[in-house]
Amino acid sequence: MLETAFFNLFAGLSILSGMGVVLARNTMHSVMFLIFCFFNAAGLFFMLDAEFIGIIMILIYVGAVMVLFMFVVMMLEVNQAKLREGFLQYLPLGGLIAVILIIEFIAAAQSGVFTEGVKATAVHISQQVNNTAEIGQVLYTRYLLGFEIAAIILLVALVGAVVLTLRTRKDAKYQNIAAQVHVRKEDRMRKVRM
Amino acid sequence: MTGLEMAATAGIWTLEILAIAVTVALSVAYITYAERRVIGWIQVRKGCNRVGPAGLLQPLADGLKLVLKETIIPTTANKFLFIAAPIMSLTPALVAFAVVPFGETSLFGIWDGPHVMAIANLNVGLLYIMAISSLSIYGILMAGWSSNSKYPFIGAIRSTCQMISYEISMGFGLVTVMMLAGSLNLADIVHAQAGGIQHWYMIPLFPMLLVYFISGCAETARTPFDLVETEELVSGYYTEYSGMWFATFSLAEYGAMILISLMTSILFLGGWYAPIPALDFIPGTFWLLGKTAFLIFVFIWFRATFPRYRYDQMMRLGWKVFLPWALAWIAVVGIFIYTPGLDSIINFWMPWR
Amino acid sequence: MANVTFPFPFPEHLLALLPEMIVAVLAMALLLLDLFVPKEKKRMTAYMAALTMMAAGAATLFVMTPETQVAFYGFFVLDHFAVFAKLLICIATLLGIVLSIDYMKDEENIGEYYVLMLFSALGMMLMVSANNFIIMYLGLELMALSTYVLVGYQRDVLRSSEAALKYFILGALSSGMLLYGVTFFYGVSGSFHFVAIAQGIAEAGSSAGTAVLLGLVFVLAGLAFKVSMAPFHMWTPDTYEGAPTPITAFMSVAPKVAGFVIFMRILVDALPGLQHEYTTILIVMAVITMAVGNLAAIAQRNIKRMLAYSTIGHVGFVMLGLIAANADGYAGILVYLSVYLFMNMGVFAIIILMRREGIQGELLDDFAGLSRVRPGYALAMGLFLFSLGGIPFLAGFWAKYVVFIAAIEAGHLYLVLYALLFSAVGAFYYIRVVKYIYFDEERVAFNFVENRMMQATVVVSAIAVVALGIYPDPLIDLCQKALGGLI
Repeated sequence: MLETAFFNLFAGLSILSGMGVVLARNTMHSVMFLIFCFFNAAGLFFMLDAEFIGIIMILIYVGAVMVLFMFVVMMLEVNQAKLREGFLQYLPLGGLIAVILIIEFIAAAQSGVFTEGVKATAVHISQQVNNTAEIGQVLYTRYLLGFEIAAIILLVALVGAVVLTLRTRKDAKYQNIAAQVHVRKEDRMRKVRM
Repeated sequence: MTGLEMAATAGIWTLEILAIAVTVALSVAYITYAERRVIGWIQVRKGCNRVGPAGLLQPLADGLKLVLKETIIPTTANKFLFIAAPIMSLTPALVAFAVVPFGETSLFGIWDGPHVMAIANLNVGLLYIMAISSLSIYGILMAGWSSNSKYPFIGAIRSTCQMISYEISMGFGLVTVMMLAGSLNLADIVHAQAGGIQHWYMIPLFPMLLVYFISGCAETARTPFDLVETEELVSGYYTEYSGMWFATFSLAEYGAMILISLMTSILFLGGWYAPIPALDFIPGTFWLLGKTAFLIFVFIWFRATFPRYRYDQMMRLGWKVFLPWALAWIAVVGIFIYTPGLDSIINFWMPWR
Repeated sequence: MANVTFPFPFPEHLLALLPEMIVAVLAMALLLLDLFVPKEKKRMTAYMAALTMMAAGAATLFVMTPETQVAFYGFFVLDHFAVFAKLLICIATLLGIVLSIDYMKDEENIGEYYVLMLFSALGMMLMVSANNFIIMYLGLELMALSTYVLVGYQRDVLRSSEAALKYFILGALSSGMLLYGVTFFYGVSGSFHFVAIAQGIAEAGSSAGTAVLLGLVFVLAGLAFKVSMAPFHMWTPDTYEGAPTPITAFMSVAPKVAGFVIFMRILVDALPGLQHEYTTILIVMAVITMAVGNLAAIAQRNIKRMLAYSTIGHVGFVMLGLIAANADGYAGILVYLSVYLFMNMGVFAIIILMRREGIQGELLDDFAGLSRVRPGYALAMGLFLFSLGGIPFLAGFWAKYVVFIAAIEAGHLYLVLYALLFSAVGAFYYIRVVKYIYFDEERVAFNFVENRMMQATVVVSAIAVVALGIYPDPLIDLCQKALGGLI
């Protein structure tokens, strides 16, 4: 019972904050709502005993990705009111897609696939089973090749981002620590005979 | 579960949480006192010594003053986020303490075996700490943005860059600990260091101890990394804050400092174990808190000793010094673990293998 | 304490990945080494990258065994099919590097350029060895990500940035579609392995018909983007025109090889039960592709743009092999791709060699009077263009011949007649360029780049085109042998 209550809490809050993202007038508020939404999604993962995914969700999405989002939002002056001009002209199409999706969801829910007994009812694994260790086991054995390629992809992304943006500025002064350390007294001092 | 049992569980939880939150708040108050006295001592002057015996009531007087002061909210500020920012910065600092194990106890023999003294003994405790401490950035970012004033804004951006940069080397430093301990559970990490000072991770991972602790210094924006709140920025992201909200930021900063010290003791300095097994008759919590107190002293010592970093120097240290160090040390530990012959050396620190 | 076996066991049969490991390790080493190469000697980086590709090619031949090898817990497969594709990729990358040395020498930060090319080749080599969607997708992304950066490498050229942005956005969209399609297959079969998916689809039968069909459509659309089949070709002309010319040459060949090879693998291994459905979709797409490619090429004044549309046209012809879906058809695709490699690399080498007063020869008019100044280049260019147009007894003719015959065998006579029609249209705009070269007057002075290696590329490609045109049997045999792994 407690679990259902918590599920409803997390699910409800994530839906509400999701709506907040779209409806908030201030971009900064939208970002905050999105962060809150991620938190609730992480909570849902915790309830499924997927604590690793939950934590990683907070660590990566909230801790890193959203900070970048926020940076971009802070740096660009996004004028929400201007963005909303012509918002209504897309309403018929968007509304149509939304209605279709709702019908699909209801149809899926009524189809009998999700009735009691068929659905995987939440049987919690014991605390002895360590999710994180299990993920590590398969990630570094069975899926090792994919893991390594993903690492190289990230390297390429990093190199690419640097290559496309690096521009040595002529007017900026850079500190050369090695040169500073290697300065000898002859370089700076001169004995003058008075 | 009956209603009575649930109420009892809830009561115990509340007590546990209060026991930690109140203690943290009180220690923060007295760390400010210690800081002033220690810096006074280092700089050959007195420090605060007027309020109460040896100035011991000074923190309480300071607190009272802050509470009584008026809270000013700038008219151009975004009020909701302006008020939310200090809370967003304090919450993660306190929530992180939930998984910190303060020792082991069998409650004077009432329980069968030793129990870990933590609110939640999570399997992913280390990741939890990293995740939660990465959140404190939002409080600062929000404070800087919502003040709608240029100094806080620059301060917030500096602070964000600083925290993101140092979080990376900090995380990589922790990876080496995970590799040796084979677990993310903080209690397991401490158990892996049992058996005296030669088993502590500060010996095989000494460079990582430095990386972690100094990055921790940067994460909490303590001197010499306090360019976030320098005079040139009129104290950075909290320029516009006053009264109790200002105090909340300080509370968060000092709370984070305690957390970093605690984590360093747990991860590298053997947690609640005594340096010599013979000294284990003294309860482990004392050892842990003693190590933590020493590290807090080191924080204060830094502040009294070092000049401040310039922005580019700080970035250089994080990206060009610490990050390569941490990566290289991961490679070193990995090579030791996998190479036959060398693994017998590293196995000394991996008792579970 | 969690019960972990530690240290983890090393994966078995690592030797099968030797070529990939060589490329990956040397590319990363080169990335570091490049920091210590002084600016005047940046050619060293290019030479080392070229050597890496040669080593990878040699290693591919070295690790080849008569039987199929499986490594990394069944996630990597090395058969003759993959070996053949890898050799093509190595050659294409090698030629791409050779073409770049002179063209890119004035760029800032040139070292990473070659490293990215190596990584792109690595992605393709992994892709052709994939027997499951995970490795295939990751290889694809590695290839695509490196190529996005390479296309936008000339950051100060507006065209280049625009091309990169278009390519990136559409590429990301197509990856999304591909992944979305894969989720349907995973939902039906519970596995990412091609063979297991085929099994799952067969077992599910008609109960999962809609899901499988949706998955098929999305996967086909995603792959069609990568090999620029119409109606998913929109990025091709802009990207080809804007990219640095050596990259255009590289990406008009190598990713197409990888794309078609993985296309064949997916169709044969994962979707044999859906042959009727995918053939229908492919026929429709082939009809549009051939028309769009060949008709739009006529209107182009810029030779890079014209070759982009010509690529689309050729993709349309290659699709006949997929539609035929028999051994001859698949062998025909391999023949086509190998021949196309030499023809296209040769054409682009001449485009790069040609400058008029510092401007890259890119407009068709720039070729006017080439035969008076450099009869050698003019002859080679003529050969390549005739071959691209499918004039008999040059290599391009046999490439078309093989796939057309295979399609007729499979009973698609009308489609082949349609293809012949557009082949004739294609011949028109290729021959038009030959007309500029031989019959028009020279207007502005030519200013050729003197580079021995590029001239060698032209000569080798020309010899290959002529030799394969006169005696194509060894190549056709080789391609049929290479199919051993697939069917």
